[in-house]
Amino acid sequence: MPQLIPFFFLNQIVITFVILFSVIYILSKYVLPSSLLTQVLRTYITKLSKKNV
Amino acid sequence: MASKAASVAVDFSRIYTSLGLGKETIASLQAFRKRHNEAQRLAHQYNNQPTTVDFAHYRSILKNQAIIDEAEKVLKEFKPVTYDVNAHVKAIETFEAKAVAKAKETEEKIDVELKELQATLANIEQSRPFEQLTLDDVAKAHPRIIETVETMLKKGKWTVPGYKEKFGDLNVM
Repeated sequence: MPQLIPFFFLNQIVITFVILFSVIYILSKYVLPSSLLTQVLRTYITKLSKKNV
Repeated sequence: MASKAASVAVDFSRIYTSLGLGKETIASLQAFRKRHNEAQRLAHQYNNQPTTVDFAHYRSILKNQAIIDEAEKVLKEFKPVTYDVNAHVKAIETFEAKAVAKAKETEEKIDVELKELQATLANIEQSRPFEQLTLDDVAKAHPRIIETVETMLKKGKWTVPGYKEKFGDLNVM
């Protein structure tokens, strides 16, 4: 039944979306905030050490 | 008597030097001590003075006996004025209570300060070299940084302005 062929890709679509959203979630919740914290802290510490010199 | 014993037992030079009192307190303490010494000296001086009058002696050397009789009468009738010292004692007691309360307050303050200092000392002793610091350590020491990061995240700012210019990045392209 050729009209059913699109549905053969449904599992791929589901998996793709699951992976996409979990990657977005992990990035926005854990990875990027920690990198932002690193950047902020690095800026802060550099300012501190320059102030002390 | 108890107060006398206490005043003997108090080692003022130790109080001045070891308790770390303020200048004002030491000055008032010295003034109080001076006043006390003066009062003691005066009391001693007056205690040693004779309190009786030898009327027979005056009778033998003075011709006017009437005046001696009169003087004797006046002396017999003389009664020292009694002072009500209760008010003074009360004032002293309130002052003492105040001083004790203040001392306790100071003691509590010093205790708190001491605890803080000990905490600081422990902090210093346990501190690690700069190379071993982690992000979490620094962030814990300055909670304001975490707040800043959270507000930046809420506003959708994922980078620090000027960071790339200052420190560069690892992008190849």
